[in-house]
Amino acid sequence: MPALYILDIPEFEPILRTARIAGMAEEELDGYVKVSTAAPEIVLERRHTDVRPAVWFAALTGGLEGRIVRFDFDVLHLAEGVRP
Amino acid sequence: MTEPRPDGGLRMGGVDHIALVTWEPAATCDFYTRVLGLPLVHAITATGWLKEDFPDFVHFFFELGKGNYLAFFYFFGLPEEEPPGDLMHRSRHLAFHVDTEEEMLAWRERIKSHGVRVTHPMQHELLESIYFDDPNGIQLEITRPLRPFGDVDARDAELTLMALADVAGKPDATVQDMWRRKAEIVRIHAGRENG
Repeated sequence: MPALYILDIPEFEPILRTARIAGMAEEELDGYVKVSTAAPEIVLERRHTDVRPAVWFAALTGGLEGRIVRFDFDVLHLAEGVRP
Repeated sequence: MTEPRPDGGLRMGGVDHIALVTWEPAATCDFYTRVLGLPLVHAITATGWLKEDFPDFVHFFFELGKGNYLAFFYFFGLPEEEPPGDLMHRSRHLAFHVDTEEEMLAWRERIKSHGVRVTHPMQHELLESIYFDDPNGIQLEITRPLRPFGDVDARDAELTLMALADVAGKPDATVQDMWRRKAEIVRIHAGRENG
């Protein structure tokens, strides 16, 4: 399953909150929160987070499992596997 | 100054000076003294004694405050360099610090009033900045903190640089490879997996 690791700083809190509202599973990892779903894909939309672009485009700074399908101003879409 | 010094007490005392090169000394002096209000405090003039092909030069210093100086070389007879490409122009820049948004915006008005093009404020992750060029085409920035750097930022930076070191230089390494490695390092440091 894909996952993103969100660094526990105030700037990324809206992204974590959006993942939480979407019902994603959370795992605390000493300053990071791993969020994942049972589904083979994760899709987050920036309009739900209301973070500025510089923060949005740094959202994966904590790390990721899986691969990026799409990551632009509007959508972060992760899927399983390393290669498409 | 109360931080522990595991390095035996050695610690850098900030930036003394950064040295850049100009082919436009008059415009440079005018810009830094009049637009940015930095006092011109020192100038060395000398023949190029350092080595045989070192040109004769003037090396002049502007005072930034807090013991920091900005210095320029002017070399006689040196052909002007090609300007850098856009990415290097944006990347190799000098950022001045202010504490507050009000100061940053006041500087923006002052710079604009001298006819210098300056960007709108841009909020990064932890900084907010305006950008403009000096007469040499060197990109300058005035930046203010959105919040101070904390221990969590320093620790994250350490793990990021570990992940980067593991992938940088590998053929076709991407930022995705670094982020995957970062997740592994985060798990290891949280005690969830062995190194």
